[in-house]
Amino acid sequence: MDFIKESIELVENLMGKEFDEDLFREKFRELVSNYIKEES
Amino acid sequence: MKATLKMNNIADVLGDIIFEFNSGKLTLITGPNGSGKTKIINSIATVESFPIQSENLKKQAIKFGIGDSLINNTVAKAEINLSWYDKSKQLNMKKNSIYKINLEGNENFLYTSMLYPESRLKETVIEKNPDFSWILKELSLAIHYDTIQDILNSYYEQADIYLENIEDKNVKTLKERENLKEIQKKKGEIKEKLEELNKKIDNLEEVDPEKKARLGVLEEKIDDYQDIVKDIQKTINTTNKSITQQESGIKINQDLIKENQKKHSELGKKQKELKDIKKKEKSYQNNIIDLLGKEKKFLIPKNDYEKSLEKLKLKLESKSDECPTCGKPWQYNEEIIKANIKQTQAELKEVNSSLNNITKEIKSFEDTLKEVDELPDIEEKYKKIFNDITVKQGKIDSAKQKLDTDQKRLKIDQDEFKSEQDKLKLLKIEFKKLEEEIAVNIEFKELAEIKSKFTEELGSLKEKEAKVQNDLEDYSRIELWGVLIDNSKKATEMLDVFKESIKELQSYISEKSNEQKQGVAVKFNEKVKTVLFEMQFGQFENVMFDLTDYQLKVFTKGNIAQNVKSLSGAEKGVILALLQISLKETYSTESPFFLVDEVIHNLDETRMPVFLNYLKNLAEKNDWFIILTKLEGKKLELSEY
Repeated sequence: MDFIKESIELVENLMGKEFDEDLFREKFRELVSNYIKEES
Repeated sequence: MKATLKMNNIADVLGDIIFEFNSGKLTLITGPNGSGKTKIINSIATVESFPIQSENLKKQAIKFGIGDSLINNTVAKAEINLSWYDKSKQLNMKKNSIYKINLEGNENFLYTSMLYPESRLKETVIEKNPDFSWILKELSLAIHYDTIQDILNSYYEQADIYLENIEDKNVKTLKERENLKEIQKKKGEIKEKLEELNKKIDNLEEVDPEKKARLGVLEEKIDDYQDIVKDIQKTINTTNKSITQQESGIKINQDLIKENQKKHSELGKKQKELKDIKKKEKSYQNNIIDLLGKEKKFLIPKNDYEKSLEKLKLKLESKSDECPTCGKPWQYNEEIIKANIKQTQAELKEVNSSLNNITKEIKSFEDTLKEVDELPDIEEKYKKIFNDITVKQGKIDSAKQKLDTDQKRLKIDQDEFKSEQDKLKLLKIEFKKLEEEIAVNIEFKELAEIKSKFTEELGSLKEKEAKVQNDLEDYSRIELWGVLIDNSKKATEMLDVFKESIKELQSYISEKSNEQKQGVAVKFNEKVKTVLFEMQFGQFENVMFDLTDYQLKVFTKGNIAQNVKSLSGAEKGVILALLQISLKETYSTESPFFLVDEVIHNLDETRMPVFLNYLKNLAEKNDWFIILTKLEGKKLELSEY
């Protein structure tokens, strides 16, 4: 899994005038967990 | 184009109040302090900016009294309607920040379209070391990129904490492994000692088997008797509890009976009293009829006296020899009239006092008769309380019977308890004696004691060993953001890579944030230049955001760079006006309202007309509603500049 690439995609998808901070936190947390699971 | 502002239950005004504004014009709202100038522009600002999500702007709104603080203190809700062209906005609000709006506004209105004494822009201008970079951040996506940067930072810090924990666990693991070795060594030593002891005990002389058998029998008997004594003790305890319960029940019921007997006697008296009144009901009614007759008789003179008094007063006021009501002639004499008034007032007072007494008497008779109506209720209560007393007495009697039985039972149980205890005592004496006879071999006793100590020590070592093994297992498991990893070396490697990735992401985010700030700064700098030229203040050559550090730079004549903090108060006023207008022109294309609340005193007499004329032209050019408040005049007034 390309963690950096997926993180940048997440930022770009959610960025905008109505940026939802909570949603970003939730999705990024998921991304980090998946990355750790995969790497371990 | 006209804009209509309708405010309902806002500030000091209960109900509706309506104002109208023309687009393309500069409207001045003048009036003294507390006349409501600010409330008008705050109402517009509330409709145009709500709902507010940003914490910074929420603070600004509260500071300046935008939102639910506009609601009149005596009511719980208010409404603001703002309409222009084909738009009609309606905001309903209740205290405690409850809002309902049909067309949402834009929270940035507070930054871009409103210049007020407590605005962040004004506060920045007067700061010792003004930092305007927030303008670029708040009005672009840079603010969101900064939020992401903070989130990434927290992950980086968490990774560091995990690494520290792993290091700490590694140290502990080494220590615990040493401990485990030590424990296992001790265990081995004790086991060896125990084996030696067992051999010694086996070699000792055998004990007399008959005595040993008798000892076993005695042991069993003692055990049985101990159970019997325990059971009897239990029964005694239960009986004692039951006795206490019965006694307390009896006491409670006795107290309740006493209370009820008191009530019963009071009700009995009241019953008798009311029955007597009932007998005389007819005569009471007759009394009332008589008194009403008397009252009527007094009412006629009362009316006459009041009329006379009124006439006399008019006579006194007219000071003429002609009746003021009918026009007939009379003789005007002030002294006589005053004496007559005095006398009439005295007579009226007497009549009124008699009337009062009669009314009181009537009321007292009526109250007494009303009380008679309660008789059936009281009779009912009287019976109920008597029944209650009888029931409670019955309960006391049955409790007393149970109490008697319990007390007899207790006596029997206590005797049995004593006799069984005596038997147990004898058995114990016999057992001890026999035990002493058997344990003739002192060495056997000593060895048994040592063996018991070793066994105990071995047990405690086993417990320690289990704990250490458990800890070691815990230390080998690492948890990273909810994922369990059973290899600390692998976890450390992963965390190092993760930290590198976060750093890379942060540099990407920082680049993005800068792009945003630069874009906004370039746009803003262009606008400021135009506004500066149009305002013709003259003393500044340029005002702009530096694209390297995002700070505001001011250039005076000769292109000399100057810090905002070194400018005079009036110059700061110009910068403030310039920045606010540039902000409005750059960012706010949605709202046609531009509000300026009592900040023009920052400008001196020569600059003020320039500023007002500029606003006037700006309103005309963009077809905006520019509304400005000014402390002037004795009442609230709206006019066009």
